[in-house]
Amino acid sequence: MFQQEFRVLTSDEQASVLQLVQEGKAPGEAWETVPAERFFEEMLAELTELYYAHPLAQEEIGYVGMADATGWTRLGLNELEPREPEAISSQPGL
Amino acid sequence: MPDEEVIEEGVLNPLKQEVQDPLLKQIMQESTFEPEPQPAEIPLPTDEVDCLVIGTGAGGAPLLARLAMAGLKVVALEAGPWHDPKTDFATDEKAQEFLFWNDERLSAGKDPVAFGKNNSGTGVGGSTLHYTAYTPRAHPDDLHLNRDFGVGVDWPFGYEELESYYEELEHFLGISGPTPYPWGPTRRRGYPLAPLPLNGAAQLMERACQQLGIQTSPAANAALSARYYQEGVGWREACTNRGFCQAGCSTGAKASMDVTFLPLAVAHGAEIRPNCFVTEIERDEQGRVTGVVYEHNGITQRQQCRHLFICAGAVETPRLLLLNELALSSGHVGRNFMAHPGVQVWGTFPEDIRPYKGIPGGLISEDTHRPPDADFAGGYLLQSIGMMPVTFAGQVVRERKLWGAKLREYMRNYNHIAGINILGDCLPHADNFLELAEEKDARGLPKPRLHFTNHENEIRMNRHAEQLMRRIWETAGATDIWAFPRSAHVIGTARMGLSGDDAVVNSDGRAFDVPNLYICDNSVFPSALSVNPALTIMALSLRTADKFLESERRRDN
Ligand SMILES: Cc1cc2nc3c(=O)[nH]c(=O)nc-3n(C[C@H](O)[C@H](O)[C@H](O)COP(=O)(O)OP(=O)(O)OC[C@H]3O[C@@H](n4cnc5c(N)ncnc54)[C@H](O)[C@@H]3O)c2cc1C
Ligand code: SF4
Repeated sequence: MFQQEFRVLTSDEQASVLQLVQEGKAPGEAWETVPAERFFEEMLAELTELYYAHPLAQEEIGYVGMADATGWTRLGLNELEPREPEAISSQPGL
Repeated sequence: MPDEEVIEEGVLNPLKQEVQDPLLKQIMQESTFEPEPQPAEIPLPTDEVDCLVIGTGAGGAPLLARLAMAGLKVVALEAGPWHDPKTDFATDEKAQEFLFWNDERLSAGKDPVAFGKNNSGTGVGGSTLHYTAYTPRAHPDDLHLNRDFGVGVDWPFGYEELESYYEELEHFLGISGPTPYPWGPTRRRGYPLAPLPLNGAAQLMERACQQLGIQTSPAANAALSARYYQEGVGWREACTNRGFCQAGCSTGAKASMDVTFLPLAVAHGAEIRPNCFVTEIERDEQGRVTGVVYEHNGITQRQQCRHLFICAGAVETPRLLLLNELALSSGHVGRNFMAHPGVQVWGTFPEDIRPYKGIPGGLISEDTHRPPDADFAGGYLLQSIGMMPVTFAGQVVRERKLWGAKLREYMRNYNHIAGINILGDCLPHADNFLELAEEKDARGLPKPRLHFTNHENEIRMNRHAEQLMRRIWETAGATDIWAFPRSAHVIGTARMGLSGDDAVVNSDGRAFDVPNLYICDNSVFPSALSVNPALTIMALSLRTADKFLESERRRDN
């Protein structure tokens, strides 16, 4: 589309290519044989699961479920145990 | 069709395995290399066992223990490995994927069902290794959809046949739950343990339902709320609320088969052979099963038996029957495939929820068992759900199609997101079935292909439920509410019934066509039930063993 290899595109350009693949509108012969939307969804799901299996990605979302060796006792809403990190954002959605 | 007199022609070795890999095929064709001569016969072990059980999940494990306790010589063959949860299980979803049946299964139809971690497990303990352990009983009228609504088929017996088994299981497994239970018939005995504490999602659901006048209750869950002593097993420790039930319980608090019925079976002399994948079922000229052929670490072996119990789950059981052309005279093997409508609704809350804490199987409402305003047959239950980040993120991208910065932004709300879902009846439909595909798996055996399309009844039920759950989540204060349509569990592919014309096994679980073949797992359910299946599968398993033992005693006298 940009007449260049995907790797050398700017990230905005890369994003627009990906967007078109997701929408099934990407030009090119490859997409005539592979159902683009389906391909994109499977790829995305696989990569997303790998990404969020990484400790740094888990830290980013405030997940500390792996610190469960001693079990959890404070289960109430807004209740934390001393070893749980504070909320990453006090207002969800921000 | 009359009962056991009619016997199929003996089909001895219908399976031919062939090399699938094109490169390997080519190399083999081109090379002049002669393969080592294989021994023509697989060596016959001299021992014949009384009962051979294929599969050690919810359907296989209870009957294995029962048969062993009756003094019979029993062996179980299990395709998956035998884990030690204390040392083998990590709190890491990706690392735990070995618990799932990951051989490829093909999915077709308008609403193709997801397999792998959505559906089925492997290993000593089967899918109970990763079940959420919600263990509600079926309702008496769940067994009579045809009587009450004129659709589907009724079970060949009533609730009274299951009741004493439910009771026995609740006490044997150490199920935690409320006494009295708010729905269904009055019970003779309550749950042995008090309910488990509610996680964040359950607390939010409870609060909102109270405002809406919907009754809720802590659910019956087969995880221990206190230490519990179990025969043949010893003391099992209480649940520590680590919220990881769906990726394996490392503490032994959850009543999966590997910490309950299987050690009991072993204590009574049963032998369990892990990593044994059964491929062939052999018969004599009269059509009686004589034994099976299985693969163990690449070596082909044979085990002879007097009676065979197939408990390989609702995909592999019909697949084995079809591969071996066994018990097919009804034409119903693989048909009547049902999957519970299971739409989930998610929302974002101001509260700090920490979804990684507490058992995921927390709160239940069965007020929707027969909703007065229903435009469908049957009904459903409502349950709060837990959420592990990897599985959840996968669902988010599939349904909301987010990626890149938008995905990361949404996922940063992780600690503020909670969900609820339903499980409801599904009707059997002619275009929902399992068949063998042309495509072969790594063993050279045809892959199973499952066709599934939601029909009017399932669509209406999901719609009714989604509206209700959206109302609950709005009342609970959620924003950014979205629904994830899904179907859960594989059911009905070798159903039980009164006649060999439209069912594969009789009401005792014995195949109409083959006198010494029994089937017990999710495939024998005549209808899907409006509740989670595992407790009823286990009840059927104990009942099947008892019916078998009764018939053996009758024969002896
Ligand atoms: C994530 C998740 C959560 C769930 N939560 C709940 C819940 O909360 N409550 C509930 O009631 N149910 C739940 N279920 C469903 C429940 O786990 C299953 O319905 C139940 O375990 C099915 O029992 P089964 O005996 O039919 O099959 P399984 O338990 O799957 O057992 C079949 C066994 O047979 C073995 N096998 C298959 N083929 C062969 C072969 N050829 N040779 C040798 N062995 C073979 C398999 O390896 C497996 O171990 C859940 C399922 C999933 C996926
Ligand atoms: S929440 Fe309880 S039952 Fe579930 S995995 Fe953790 S300890 Fe086991």
